[in-house]
Amino acid sequence: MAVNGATFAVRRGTITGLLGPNGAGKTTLFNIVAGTIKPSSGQILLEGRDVTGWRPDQLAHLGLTRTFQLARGLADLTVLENFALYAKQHPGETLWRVFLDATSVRQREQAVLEEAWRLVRQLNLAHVANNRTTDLSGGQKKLVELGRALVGHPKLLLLDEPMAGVNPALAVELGKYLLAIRDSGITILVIEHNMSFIRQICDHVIVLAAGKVIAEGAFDEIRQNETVQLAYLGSAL
Amino acid sequence: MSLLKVDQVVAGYGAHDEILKSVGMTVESGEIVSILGPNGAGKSTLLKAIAGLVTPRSGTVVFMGESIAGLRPRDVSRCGIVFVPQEHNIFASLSIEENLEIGAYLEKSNYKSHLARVYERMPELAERRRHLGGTLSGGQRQLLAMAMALMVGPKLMLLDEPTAGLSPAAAEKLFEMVRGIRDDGVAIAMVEQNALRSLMVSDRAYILVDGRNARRGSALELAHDKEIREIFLGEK
Repeated sequence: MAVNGATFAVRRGTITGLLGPNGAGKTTLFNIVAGTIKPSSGQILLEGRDVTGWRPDQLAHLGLTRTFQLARGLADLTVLENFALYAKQHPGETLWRVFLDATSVRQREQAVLEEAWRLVRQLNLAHVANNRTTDLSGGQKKLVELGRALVGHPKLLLLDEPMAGVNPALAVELGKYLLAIRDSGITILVIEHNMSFIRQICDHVIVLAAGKVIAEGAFDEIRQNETVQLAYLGSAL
Repeated sequence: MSLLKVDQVVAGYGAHDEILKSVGMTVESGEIVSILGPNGAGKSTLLKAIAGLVTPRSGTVVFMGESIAGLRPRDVSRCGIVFVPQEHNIFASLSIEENLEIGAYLEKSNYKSHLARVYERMPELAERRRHLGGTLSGGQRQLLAMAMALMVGPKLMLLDEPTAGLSPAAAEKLFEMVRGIRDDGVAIAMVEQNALRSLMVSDRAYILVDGRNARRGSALELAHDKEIREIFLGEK
């Protein structure tokens, strides 16, 4: 049992860190919240609504988006195309609108492209914007993964190790960016092992071990917690 | 004579795509060398160019006095260089011991002695020898990937972001293991984003930017360099 009786809440408008040793059940918990695994028991509430067992696409319509540990870019598309594809509302997908409502289709496409360019610049990918994602380095693929999640303006964003393989200097910049998008109203739950990143961005931290929540609180409280030190941090901090 | 000498190597993946524009580095016997730099700088491509997974378009790669540029990966491995990729580096559906057996594919004659040495160095793999690779934690998977590479009795191990995705405690343990492997006589060249920690276990380091050498020096010196800390480690 990867997740065994985990109970926690993520407050609206905050960034919450989900920490824990490798194999603690963090990604499984993401899979449950994002609808790719049905829990054997228990409940998932999103803005008070019971969404236990909902499919990922249904949850996405409610504003829940996730990223994956191993970046899964659409290989044959460029970075820019990957971003544009993930934007919501593509009126050009409806045949009659292409003919009868061409102006608004064009305007929307233009807006999507502008948004994609803004993100490409924000994520330091402008110099590779027109490269296929297969040609990117491991760290750049992680950034594409993050960008695709952001382009849909989710309400709740689940990030699975967004900074693994990302250069530390860029991680600091992206941390500032995530704080800004939190302030714009997006709630974030993030799995990450980069402790300076967690310290920089998280309002609240939850520690999972053997499928259960073993501690939660502010980062500085958590790092003093002996159980957490033993199970997770070692003497690294 | 250096164990490994890379000089003015140019390499990339497509016909017009130059990731490495001109990179040089050396690794001496018994050293741990870190390769650091921003995303897309060419760090992993440099390791692949040494390991034979990418053929350099120009430049030289000399290992123990012999040119190895353009050799097939298996022939590079036979020379004594092993590459541990960041992902997909073990067989999840095979047991630990079966993974190690596959690691020894090119060096079957010393299988038993190498296996005994690996188990002595990594007792937690010995305890789980019958378990499937897929049941291991992230840290144990990386250990197994390194153990597979050790099964050919290498002289140089290339590690591509060995601590990516590992908890702080597991990363710390892995860095200790890297030191232990070096103490057993295997030189290490590793690409890492956990830059400061990586510099702390390394003897020397190279910093690449946009496919070229930007800085090089002793790890200690680079770890205390204000510019490096600001530009590459994100410290203010």
